[in-house]
Amino acid sequence: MAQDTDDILREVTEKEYAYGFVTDIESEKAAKGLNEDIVRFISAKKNEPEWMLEWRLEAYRIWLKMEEPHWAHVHYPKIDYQNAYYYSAPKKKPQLNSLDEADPELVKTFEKLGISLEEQKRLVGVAVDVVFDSVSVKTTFQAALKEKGIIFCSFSEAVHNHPDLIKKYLGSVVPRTDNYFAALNSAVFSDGSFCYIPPGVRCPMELSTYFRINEAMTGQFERTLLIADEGAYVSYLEGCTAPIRDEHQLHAAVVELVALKDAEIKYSTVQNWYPGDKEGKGGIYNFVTKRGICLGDRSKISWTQVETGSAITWKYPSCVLKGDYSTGEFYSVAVTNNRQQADTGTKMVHIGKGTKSTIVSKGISAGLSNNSYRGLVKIGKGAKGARNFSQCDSLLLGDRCGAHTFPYIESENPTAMVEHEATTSKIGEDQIFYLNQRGIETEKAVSLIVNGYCKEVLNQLPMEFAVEAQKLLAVSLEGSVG
Amino acid sequence: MSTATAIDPKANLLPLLEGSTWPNATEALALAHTLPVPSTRTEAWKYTRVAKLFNQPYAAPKGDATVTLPARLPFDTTRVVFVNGHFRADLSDDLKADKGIVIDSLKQHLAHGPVKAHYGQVAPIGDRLFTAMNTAAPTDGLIILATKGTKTSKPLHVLHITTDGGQLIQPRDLFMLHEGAEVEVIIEHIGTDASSSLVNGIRESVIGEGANLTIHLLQIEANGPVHIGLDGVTIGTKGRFSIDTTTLNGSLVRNEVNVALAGPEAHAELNGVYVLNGTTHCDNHTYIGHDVPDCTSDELYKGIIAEKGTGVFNGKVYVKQDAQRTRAYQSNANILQGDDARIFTKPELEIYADDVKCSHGCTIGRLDEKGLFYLRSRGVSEAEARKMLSHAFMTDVLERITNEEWRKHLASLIDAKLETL
Repeated sequence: MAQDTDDILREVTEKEYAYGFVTDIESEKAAKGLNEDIVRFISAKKNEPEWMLEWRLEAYRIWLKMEEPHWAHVHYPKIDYQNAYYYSAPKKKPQLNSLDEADPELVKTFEKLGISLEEQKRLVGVAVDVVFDSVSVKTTFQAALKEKGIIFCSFSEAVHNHPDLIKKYLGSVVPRTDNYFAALNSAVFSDGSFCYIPPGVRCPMELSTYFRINEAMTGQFERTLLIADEGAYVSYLEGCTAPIRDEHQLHAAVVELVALKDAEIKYSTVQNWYPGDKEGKGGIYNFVTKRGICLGDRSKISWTQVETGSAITWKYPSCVLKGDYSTGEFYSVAVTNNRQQADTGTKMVHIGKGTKSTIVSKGISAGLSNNSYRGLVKIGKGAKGARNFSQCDSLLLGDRCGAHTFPYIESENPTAMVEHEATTSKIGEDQIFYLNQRGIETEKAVSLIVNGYCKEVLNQLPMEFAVEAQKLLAVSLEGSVG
Repeated sequence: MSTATAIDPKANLLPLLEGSTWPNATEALALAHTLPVPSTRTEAWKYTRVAKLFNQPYAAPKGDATVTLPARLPFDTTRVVFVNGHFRADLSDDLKADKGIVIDSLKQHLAHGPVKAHYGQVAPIGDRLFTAMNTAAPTDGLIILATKGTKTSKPLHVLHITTDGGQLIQPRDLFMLHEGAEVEVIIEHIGTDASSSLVNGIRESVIGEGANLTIHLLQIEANGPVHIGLDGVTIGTKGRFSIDTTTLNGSLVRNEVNVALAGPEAHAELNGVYVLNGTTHCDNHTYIGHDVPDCTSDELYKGIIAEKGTGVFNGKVYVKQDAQRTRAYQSNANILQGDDARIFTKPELEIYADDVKCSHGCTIGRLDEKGLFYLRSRGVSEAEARKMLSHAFMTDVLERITNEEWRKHLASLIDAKLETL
């Protein structure tokens, strides 16, 4: 049986990325490098108003004064920010009413990913804002959303059509000065999604963006801003896959969520970007700033993520619980394999009275990878009766990988209750033996155990997304382990 | 801002350390000049501010101060007295009673082989300013050398008395336990009206095969000096180390315990109790390195923080690659009382081996309201009920202390402290 386990582990370690391919679509690029002219170029390309350009330039100046952070438990060669393209867009911007009109290459890409737009429309009723490299190519279900007064469009459209909302909320959750990568994103963000749910509206469908990094040597800088007005509800899905590339690709996205009084935002991510090959060559650098603020009383923000890809993940979806009795949740499965490195977790900042937060993080490390949970739970002086529960578990598959936990817990209020638990272990021989005994082969057994281990998080995903998440987990571990 | 004109914040203090003849003193002083003062941006000192310690002048410690010794412990011990860091044979008991065990002032033994072999090895300077400062000019300290199979017939009771303010005292102990030796030490810090003094201590312990070292550390210092302490410990095959740290009073207390499990089947047990009120700041910083397979470690720190007290706990368990079959447990529980009490805790795991069972847990809360109500409804006054629950909260840490007499003594001190909350 030990032999079996070894075989399986070797398979995990040697499993190639199944989604590696390059879609050949003509694209338009800015010159290599980063300076004020590039920022102006990007802004001009998007026909942005003056205030937007100024906002970008200010961010660029802030970025120049900042230093790249190195506190995370990840190692990578120095990034040459001048040796990357900061803008690339498909040349022909198709205006389509149906999938038939779409670029057949594009449709093929989505078929390979198993997320055919047709099928999604028909079966799931998901509106998909497809971000292909940097420009929104197609937005569906616009009409249905419009009826409810929901704004769901690309970020550049929102800059033109809803400047008041953008001016009010852009940078209000993640200011330009927040960190090095957020400043960089603020200067050169290419596009992204914007969503506004008016008061009292329950978004009738799950909103979803699939974006892919497609152009070689292109850093992609997404910007997402999601606002749920009083009493609104929205569930937002974000899923990504990327084709094989040799050059490291930098991805520094910013996601801002704002929940007003009684509003609820559910934000789910499945991330499966190219993690690099067995030797750690290539792969995406994923340096993302995601933060939500529960501005109003009784509001709720819930983050769910399944992270299987990227060479390096540096990501801490956070909640600022400002409104009284607001709730923050974080559910995460992070899988690392080969030479992948993940430093991910969350921050729960309790400011309002009676605020509650839950953190469930499940890390799985295999191969030569390192997987870290880094989290902060901060109970402010005024957070009377605040409550937090954190559970961070790590599972080790193989004896050359690492699993780490770095939780920061700070409390300044005597009425608050904080609980943190973490465990690290490997799959027990006895568990596998038990399943073997009942006629379940080792591979299936490991799969069962891993699935059970992640269940708490996968259950949080919207049903149709959970299927995809399981598929991605399968690619990373099944066929091999789980 | 130009660095050329910036004044080194250590300029006040470092001249005091010149001219020491201890081993490695010159190199350490040079390092102390280059190492920066830790700030809140230094990860290991994130929650403990020490910059202000460098803003005041210090004097060399007074070894000949007259002191009145406190009453002896309620059980039999061998007493060793240090006054302002200096060994005082005149106040200590006969230290030669146990055959095969050397108990003396470390200063007298610097030229001896075992000291040369181990001094400075267990607590290397690295990037630690306070370690460099201590190594540059230790005041004096205790040497314990227990030869093969020896055992202390009764616990040592080491009294560190600080008499005045404004002193820089740098105790430096070296404990060496050979194969199968067993040593138990109670270390008590006493200091009143010494709040402007800085005690920067280092204790290095080398535990040989199958040897067993137990340290009980007690800190009750109203108006006492600032304490920066480092325990460097390395444990050999089947060796055992146990430390319990009890902090009941003080101004700024930093207890760092740095353990290397260096031989298979070594075991480390770290226990801590802190009951803080006033403006006491207590920082327990632990590192347990599982360097080889089959070692175990168990850590339990519990504290009650009241008034304007601040508690800090940072525990790290590091499991090296190939340190298979490691079992490591770590737990930190806190009760906050009072609107200005604060706790910062960071229990860390860093694991590079797969056949391990490691866990940590951390809780912050207040006394159980239901428990209080239960007791109140049975006619127990609120104050009494709180005391009972607080006492119960500490019980599981105390129960780990195997020396029954010390445990009883400690329990009475903790209860007396709880009375004052």
